[in-house]
Amino acid sequence: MFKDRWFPALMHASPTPPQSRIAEARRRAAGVKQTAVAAAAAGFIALILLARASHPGHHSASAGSSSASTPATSSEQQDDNGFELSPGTLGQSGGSGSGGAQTGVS
Amino acid sequence: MTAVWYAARAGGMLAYLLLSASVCFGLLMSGKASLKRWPKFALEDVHRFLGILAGAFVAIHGAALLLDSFVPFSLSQLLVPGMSSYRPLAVGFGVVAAELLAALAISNHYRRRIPHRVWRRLHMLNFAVWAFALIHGLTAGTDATTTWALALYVGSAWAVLTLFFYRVSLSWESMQTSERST
Repeated sequence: MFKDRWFPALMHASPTPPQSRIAEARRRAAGVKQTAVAAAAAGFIALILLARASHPGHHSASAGSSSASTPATSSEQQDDNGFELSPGTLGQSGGSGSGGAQTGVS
Repeated sequence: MTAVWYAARAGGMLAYLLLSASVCFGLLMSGKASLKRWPKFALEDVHRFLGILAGAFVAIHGAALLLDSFVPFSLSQLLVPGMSSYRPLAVGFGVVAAELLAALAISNHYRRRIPHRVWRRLHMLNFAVWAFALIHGLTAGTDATTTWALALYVGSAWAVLTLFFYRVSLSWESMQTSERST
């Protein structure tokens, strides 16, 4: 039904070459439509792969992780770089002079 | 579930590209381009088919967004412009484009029952659909800043705008000719 509606020239194609220019144009249009469907399917898969590759949280198999972690977890793991960063350990210096950043101009 | 999120993004991008291709075929047809091997009815057939294919991928885009949990969307957020919590204006452009596309598809279905002049004016709204889809893709798309996405957007916009200005110049020329003859 779908094929008959959208690709009529392909459905009723005869083994002999088409007689008229109209039949030839119909056949060409049906060919372009079939190509468009195939290209759209291939393009969909290609775009999924591109979207996956450009996903901020995506990490390839070469990263060495065997578990299927969520994007946020994987970025945390990468950002930590092996250090234990627990909440509250980073903060403003208490003013003892040993740690705080100096912004003054001499 | 991230596969659904990738499918949503790919579906949206592909719908935009198919819409651009359909608009290009439409402009070629209306511009009376003299393509020896492509009579008008064949161009019109491909033009209509590409529009339907674009609509199918818009449906995939919407369905995937509804199923996705990465950026959750409710049905009302997908149907009512500005209801989305994620970039409401940018998503709103996409909602309006999709709904306008559906309305124009219905008007195409009843084309023979509508006066030709009215149908033709309605059909011009497809430019608005295309422009809204482009704005939506550039402002709401999470891939919009990537090189490949920008190349696709710029390439398709260049093709559509080139044919659009070619078509406008043809209309302008025919207007000038008819003014001179009267």
